[in-house]
Amino acid sequence: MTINTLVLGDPPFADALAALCRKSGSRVIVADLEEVADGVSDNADAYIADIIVDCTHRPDKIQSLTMLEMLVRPSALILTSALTASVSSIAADMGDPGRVVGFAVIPPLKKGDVVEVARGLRTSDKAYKAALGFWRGLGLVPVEVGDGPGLVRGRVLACLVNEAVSALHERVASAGDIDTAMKLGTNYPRGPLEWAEYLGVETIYGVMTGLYNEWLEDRYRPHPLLSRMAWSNRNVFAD
Amino acid sequence: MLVYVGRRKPFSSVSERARPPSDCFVLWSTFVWLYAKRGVYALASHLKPLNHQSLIIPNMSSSIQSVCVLGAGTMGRGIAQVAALAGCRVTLYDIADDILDAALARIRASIDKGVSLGKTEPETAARAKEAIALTTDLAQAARADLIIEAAPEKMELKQSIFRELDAHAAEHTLFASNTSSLSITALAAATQRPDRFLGLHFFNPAHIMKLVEVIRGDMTADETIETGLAFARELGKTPVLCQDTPAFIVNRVARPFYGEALRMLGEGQADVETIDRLMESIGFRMGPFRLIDLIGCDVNFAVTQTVYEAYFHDPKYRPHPIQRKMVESGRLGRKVGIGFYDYRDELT
Repeated sequence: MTINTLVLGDPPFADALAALCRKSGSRVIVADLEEVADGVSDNADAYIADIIVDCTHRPDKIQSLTMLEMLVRPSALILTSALTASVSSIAADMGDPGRVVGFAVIPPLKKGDVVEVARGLRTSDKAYKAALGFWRGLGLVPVEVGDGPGLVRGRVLACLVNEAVSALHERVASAGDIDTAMKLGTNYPRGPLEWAEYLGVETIYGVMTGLYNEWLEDRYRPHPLLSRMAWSNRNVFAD
Repeated sequence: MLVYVGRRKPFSSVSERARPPSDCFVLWSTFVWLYAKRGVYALASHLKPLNHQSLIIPNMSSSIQSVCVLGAGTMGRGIAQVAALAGCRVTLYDIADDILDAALARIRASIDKGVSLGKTEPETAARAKEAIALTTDLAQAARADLIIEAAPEKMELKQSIFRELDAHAAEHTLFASNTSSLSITALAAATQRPDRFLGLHFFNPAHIMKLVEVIRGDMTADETIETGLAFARELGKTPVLCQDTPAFIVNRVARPFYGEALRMLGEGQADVETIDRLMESIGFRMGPFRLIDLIGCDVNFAVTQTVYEAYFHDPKYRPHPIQRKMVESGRLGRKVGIGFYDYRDELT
């Protein structure tokens, strides 16, 4: 039986996951979460989906996903990216929060790469097991971590970017020099600002906002320059 | 004079005071204003570069022939070695002869290792070994085109060294500090040459790490920065230009790598191995805990505390209790055989 997978989200996340799903032999539809939830695009994709893989990182993702949950089959498994909010908070208002399992991937993805998997406070054992099976089926290696915005890698990366952005905004150094310094001075694989451009400034802003919303601590305040860039859809750091 | 109290000007009074003569005039004067503004900006950009990046002149020769390195510790030795290998005459200064003799022996051994690894030509190595002189006399040390201070990180100590050097050094001699945490502007204030004073922050081990943070103090002249950048390139390094702000670039921007990892460990979100494995899975050569063990938990804790103090306890730089516990329990990392990981099997 063919598995129908509905992948929701933007590049580079949705592209990377959809490619892996296709390789594993399932029928994949990539759609925009808001459009499906609002009925702008064809809802039929949602009705037939066995697995929803949501990797949207927009500010209103929780509301849209909660709407979508009403449309999908009761048996469908919902996997949601926990980069910008904890699994518990995403599932909070859903009819069946037990079937929601969190994950986080950092593209580019290839077989053998790691996917962080986290359960919310109400995630069921059955859904969790099914999620692990799904990720293994894609050829990824699931690593269990505790719930929280960004999970492990997203949280570290976003906080690095946020600090680099504050240094840039204070004119400590140019964007290029900040990235060069971090690559040569501490052997980072990419400079923090390059990470942000690659994963999307909006995603990084989402992680920081998620951390700030849940911790309510100053250390997670998104830097105003990061916020402004996310709001104005600017994805390139000028020197 | 009209004073408006409130959130916005009352509309009526604006129109009374400055009613435009006609729409046409408004349009015309707006264009005049916009073009005038553009002209001023264009002129200003010729007079003074708006962006400090535009000052960098690549591949300019630095005119630095002789270098004095103050302090024969790890950083001082590394810098002296790199400068000697790049063809500079190097004077290494420290307070006692036995310290200097031991340092020179270690530098020579390190240069020889470079030859045996095939990274250094034997002739270059021989020349470099002969190019290093030793002194315990500051007046003699002051005779160089560039003086790089790598003394312990104490403001008073460094300032007193620079104050004395200032009296002996030639007019053209540039002063540089390898400090990783003190203000270049504050150090420069101890001298009569704050315009010829800059930061040259090398990374440990200095003969391997490619990065040099070239730090511009508030009073540093453009020519001094240009010479500093060119000199770093002549040493085979990649310089980055950095303003004089606490912890400069690397030591500041890297803080969350350790800080968030420590917090997640403390929260029980993931254990040491998992966090390291996850960060290494996206290309970091070492996860945060493996890296702290390599740096030394004590060194990492000290840097964290320094940055936290320098930013007046900004909560994003706050150290974590786990760091203190590691230091107080003597689990300092690789150098003692145990830190976040146990290395004792590897040592025996």
